[in-house]
Amino acid sequence: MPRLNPNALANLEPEVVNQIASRRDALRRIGGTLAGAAGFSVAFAAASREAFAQSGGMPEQVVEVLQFALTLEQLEATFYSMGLDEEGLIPDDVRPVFEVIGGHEDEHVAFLEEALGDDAGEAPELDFTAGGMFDTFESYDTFLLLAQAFEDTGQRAYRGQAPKLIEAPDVLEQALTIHSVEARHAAVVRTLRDLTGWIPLDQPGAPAAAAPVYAGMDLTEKYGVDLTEVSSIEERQITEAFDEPLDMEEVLAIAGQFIVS
Amino acid sequence: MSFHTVPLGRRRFLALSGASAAGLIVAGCGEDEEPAQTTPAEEPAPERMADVTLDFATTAGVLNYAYALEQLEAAFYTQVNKEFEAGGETFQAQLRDIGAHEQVHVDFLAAILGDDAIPALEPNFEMVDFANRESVLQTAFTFENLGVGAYNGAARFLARLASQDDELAPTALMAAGDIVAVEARHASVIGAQLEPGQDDMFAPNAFDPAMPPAEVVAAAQPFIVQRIAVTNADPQGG
Repeated sequence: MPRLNPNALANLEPEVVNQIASRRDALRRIGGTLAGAAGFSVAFAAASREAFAQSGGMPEQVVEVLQFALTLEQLEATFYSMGLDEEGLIPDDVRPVFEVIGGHEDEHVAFLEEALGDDAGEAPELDFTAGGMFDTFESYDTFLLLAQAFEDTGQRAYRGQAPKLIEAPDVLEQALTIHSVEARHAAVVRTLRDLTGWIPLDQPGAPAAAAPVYAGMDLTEKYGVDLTEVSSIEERQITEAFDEPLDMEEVLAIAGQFIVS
Repeated sequence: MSFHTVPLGRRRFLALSGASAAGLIVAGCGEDEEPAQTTPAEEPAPERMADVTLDFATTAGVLNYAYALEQLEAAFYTQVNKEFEAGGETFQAQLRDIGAHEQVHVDFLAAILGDDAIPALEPNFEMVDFANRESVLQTAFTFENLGVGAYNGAARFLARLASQDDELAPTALMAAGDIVAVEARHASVIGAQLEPGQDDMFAPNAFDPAMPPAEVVAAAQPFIVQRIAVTNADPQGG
């Protein structure tokens, strides 16, 4: 599998590097491009699909996971696209953040469609008011709240599917490289709401409808380890240190409120 | 703030950018050597026995890999929270939270590993200027992104072990997922503060890296006194 060469700068003198590469580029080299420009990933998706085709097709379980992910990404991509199109909704100073996030969701959709090929489902019909419950594209606060809920749900959703991808390690890896980006999105949206980037014990300002997004995230016992026993860190920070997964049913109960068909 | 005022940060940074050139076994430095210089691949460092060898054909090896990185991160934030006093109240609170999370990860992994845990590692932060916001931020961003890439890249090894009916591997895979999400949150929060005016550093790409263990260890080695080696760590290997 091709990788961008992370060593491109290794053989140059630091001063030369400094002249030719801005600090931002250098950061980007560490922060992102080691494995992944979108073109690479979409090409990889096609290659992955072909590899499965040669071995009798993609296992049904893998198709199911990818389709589930595609539905969530379509929901997110449409949400940001509609939000950005709504004049006056998103303040100018934070608009670029949502352009970045929306652009990523578009890339995730393209990747998953490519990976699924003919198995890719149509984009669902969506109602972001959830039948009139939310004034989503009229209120920036509501838009932000839903963005947070979608991102926090999305990253938990990906990980809940990980056990089903054990026999497909390439797909697992690709799903995780999307998943951690969803977590980054979630963190930045949370900070726009003056919350911590991580998920504390309580969710101030969140309506009851958002409760399922954070269900089961207050655990201090993880995988048989009682963290209050083995760690001297306080309980709030213990629970923040792990993001628990959600299973497909839990995710669909949340996302389903916004899916008409 | 220009690079000229933070030479230590830049040197560290460039060392990291090229660190994977050093290969997996010969990278790094012993206690009696000058640290922080990456070794060109064509010019192997003097052979030294590794102090720690991480075997990616075992779940304990993969978990110890995580344990090593979490130790490094926890030690970094411990020192940050002791020495770095600028940046404002919110930033200071974020740094305390992040440091606490890393310590929880260390404590969790130590508990899961039990007698299989590698010894405590000794960090080397000579390259970091703990009084300098830019140096602290850049090092934090580097460590968090390294963590994200490391966990993402380790998943396939745990998947392989799980498919071979290794008992601990499925748990390790899920735990690693729970942790990497939080590392990504850290990277996002740190990245957003790197360069005001740059809007995408919280998530520089639509796809995060999945880094091979050898690259991660080579990048981390300059910050660790003990010499770390990896084995059975080819992502495409069987």
